[in-house]
Amino acid sequence: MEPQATIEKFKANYEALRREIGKVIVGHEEVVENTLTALFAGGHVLLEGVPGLGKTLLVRTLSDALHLSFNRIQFTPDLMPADILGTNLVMESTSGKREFQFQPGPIFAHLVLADEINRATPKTQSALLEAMQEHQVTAGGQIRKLSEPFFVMATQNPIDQEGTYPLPEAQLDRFFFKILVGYPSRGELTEVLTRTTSGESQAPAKVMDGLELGELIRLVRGVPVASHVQDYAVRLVLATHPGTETAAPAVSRFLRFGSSPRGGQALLLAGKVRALVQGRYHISFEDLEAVALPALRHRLILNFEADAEGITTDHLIGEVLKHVPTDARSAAALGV
Amino acid sequence: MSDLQIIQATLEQTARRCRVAAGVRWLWRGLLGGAMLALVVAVAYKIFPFDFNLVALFSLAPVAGGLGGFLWGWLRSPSLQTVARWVDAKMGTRERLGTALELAARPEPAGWRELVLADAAGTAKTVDPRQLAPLLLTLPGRWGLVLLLLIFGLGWVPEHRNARQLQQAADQQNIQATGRQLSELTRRSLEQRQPLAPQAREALAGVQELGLELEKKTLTRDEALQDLAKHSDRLKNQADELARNPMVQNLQQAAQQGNQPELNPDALRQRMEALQKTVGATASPEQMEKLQAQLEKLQAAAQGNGSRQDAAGANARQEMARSLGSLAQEARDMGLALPQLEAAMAALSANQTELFLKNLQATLSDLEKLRDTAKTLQQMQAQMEKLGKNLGEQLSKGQVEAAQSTLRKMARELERSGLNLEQMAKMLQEVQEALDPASKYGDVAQDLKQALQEMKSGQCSAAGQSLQAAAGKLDKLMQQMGDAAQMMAALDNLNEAAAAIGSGQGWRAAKSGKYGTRPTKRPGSGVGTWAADGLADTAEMTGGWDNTGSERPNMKPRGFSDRGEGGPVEGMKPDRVKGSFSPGGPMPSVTLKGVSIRGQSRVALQEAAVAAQSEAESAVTQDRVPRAYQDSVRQYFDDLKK
Repeated sequence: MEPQATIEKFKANYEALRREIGKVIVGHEEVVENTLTALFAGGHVLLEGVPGLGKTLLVRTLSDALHLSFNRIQFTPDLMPADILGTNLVMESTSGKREFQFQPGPIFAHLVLADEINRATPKTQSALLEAMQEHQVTAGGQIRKLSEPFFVMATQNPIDQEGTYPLPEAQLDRFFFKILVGYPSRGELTEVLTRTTSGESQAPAKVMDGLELGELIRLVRGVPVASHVQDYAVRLVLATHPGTETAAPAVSRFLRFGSSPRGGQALLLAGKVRALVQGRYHISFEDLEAVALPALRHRLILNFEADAEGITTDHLIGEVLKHVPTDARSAAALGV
Repeated sequence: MSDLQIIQATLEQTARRCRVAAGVRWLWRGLLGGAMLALVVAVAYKIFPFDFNLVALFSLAPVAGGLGGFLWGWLRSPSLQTVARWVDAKMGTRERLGTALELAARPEPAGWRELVLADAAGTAKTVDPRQLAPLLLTLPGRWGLVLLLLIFGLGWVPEHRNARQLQQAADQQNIQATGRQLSELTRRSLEQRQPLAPQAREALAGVQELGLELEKKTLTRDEALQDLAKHSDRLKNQADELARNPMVQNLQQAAQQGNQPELNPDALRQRMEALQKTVGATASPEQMEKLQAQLEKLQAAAQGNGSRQDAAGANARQEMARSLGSLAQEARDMGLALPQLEAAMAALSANQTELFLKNLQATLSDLEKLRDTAKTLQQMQAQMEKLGKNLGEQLSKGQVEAAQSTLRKMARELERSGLNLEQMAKMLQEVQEALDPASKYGDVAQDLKQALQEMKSGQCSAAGQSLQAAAGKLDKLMQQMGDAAQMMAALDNLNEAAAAIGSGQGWRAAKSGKYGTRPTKRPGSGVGTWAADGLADTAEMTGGWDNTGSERPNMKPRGFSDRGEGGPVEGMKPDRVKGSFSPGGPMPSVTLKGVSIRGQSRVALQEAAVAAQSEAESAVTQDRVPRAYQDSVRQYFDDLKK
């Protein structure tokens, strides 16, 4: 199929998906956009917000709008890896023979909601590492492929620190986006109250199935990137590396570790999705700037000084964006 | 036109515009830089004195800076990719053009390339290079123009110069003008005097070079005077060396005695003959002057009475006619041809007063010319009379050109071999008599002796050649004398130049003797006036301060040791040093060769005298003045105080 046609299909599906989610989710447009961006980029999402802001509802609604299998895992401190991945059970066959048979865990779905992921122990959290990166699990000595497309949508609560286990850096890095879910505005809250207390509820319609989604994910990866735009992404990532020549001054002061290459990949892929959504066939600097926060905020590790001074990674990413010029060479070379 | 071509065409157009805009932007920057530089130099010139040419040179800096800046901006040709990115950034086209241009050059999956290019082409059509890169008067440009106005306004601000700097500037100008004059004079000498001996030519060339150096270089007065003195000494040594030749000295002595005619005898004779033909009369200039005076008297009378028509007028005309007739007769008797006088007489008898006056005026004019010619002829005759009659006389009087002429004439006659015995004897006698005076001219006497012997032995041709050789040697001597004279003239010029620079009044003023000496060559009035060289060489002037013969005390330094109580030697006693004044008599003064100190005194004479006395007392007290002279110094200043 010609790209033009696929692009049209992408736009139509994206808009439809937004529309269907909008039937359930009030406001949170940026959260929804970022979630869909991660979806079309084929990445996992970590949603962070205080309870009751609709994180879980968003994921459930998304699963409703897609013809995809969906599983929800409620992370608790006593949750074990096998509870997620599955386990071998002794089963009796029709012939009466007893044998071990793998019983798949909830991870075996297209869309997995890892609710309150930071309530599980790191051991259990780490059970997701292989699945998220390689879309496979190893259980009982056997590698089992997960069905494509595979997405993990995790939520976490930033305030209940008692009895929670912060996600390890390796785990965080595997999330494509970390999306902060904020409070709704007055109008949004009114609408939420109206919808949820009137007894009327709208169910989202199915927009597309996994095959179509897979095709659109491949389309996104085909969006061309100019070398100077890609260079900007590289410079942004490099500017987050503290102590290096390219680092922004604030970065060197407040960061312990900068972004991994996955941050750069996330920037470009998210930028591609954004370009297509906006009807362009290529990425611009603006696309990268727009997705820099959700793509990089969970990949930067603050030092003690930043914690002490209340500096956030969002603040540092803002500094990095200010520090790294988009295309300084062209203006300087022209001298105009 | 394809999408790519549309994009490229737009970008090329934009690139051209960008180059011009960058040129203009850099032009303003260059202008500002140049204007700042020019302003700094102009301000510096207003405060510190330096060559104005530097200011003129730096006043071009804004133009040069602007031009250089424009070229700098314009010559930088950006690539299309750079322009594309710049347009994207400027127009906010979200990297459409940059991406499209890059994708066009690399293999992309089917479909994407066309989509991107079509999208960018649509954007390219909206690009307006003039709007994107306007030609603006930027902030540096505005400041540059303000600075230019400041520089312009600075032209009306007078330079801050103290008296010393003004003096230095005047000196510099004077030195340059003097150098120009010196080099010009020397150049003319070199051109006029041909040929010159190599040594003389080299010396004169050195003087000319010095003149050019003074003109071109920036020298202080002291440096210029040092250079001049150095060259003067060198030139004087060379001239002295040349003039030390006794034969040349003899020639110079003869020339100073005025025995040398202006022309050589043959030329003089020819000239006299020509003038004699012109005058054609035997009348002396005095007679002509007398005649002229009478005619002028007649002319005055005619102007007074000529137009009167009464009886007195007629009588006056008759009287004039009679006088004119007698004067015409007198002129005829003198042998003067005055045709206009006859015409005047005819006009007078025809009562045509105006014509008469006109003819009389013409007659006077002719008579004046004839009188001048007669005077010249008279002078030539006097010169001719001074010429020696024979070779011996000519040589003894130092009339070298006449002697050369005589020698060559004799040589020609000998070589023709047509002389009879009487003529030969006469020539032998003439040469014989010339032997003694010729001894002053070195080898010339030898040649004459040889010629005499050869003539006696009948070798006429060889004798002729010997006489020619003698004439040649005289020629060489003349040449040497000429060279010496030329070098002395150059030396005079150097001295004049030194005087011009030293006095600070320029060549012409120094040459005219306006400063330092009066036109009478007497010293000017006032204390501290320096007289010209040689002024003090008169016995009248030197008597007062001549200290030749006086023995000076031992002046060798001995540190602070006691020098004994010995008084001043005879001739250095205070009463002699003080000098004496006699009413109406000359005031003794000492004339020193040196540079006058110009400028206006800032202190009163009394103050200066008191200060000098105080200094002298201090010097005496501190034993800086030899004990033998301490009394003299004290008395001198005491007298001054009185």
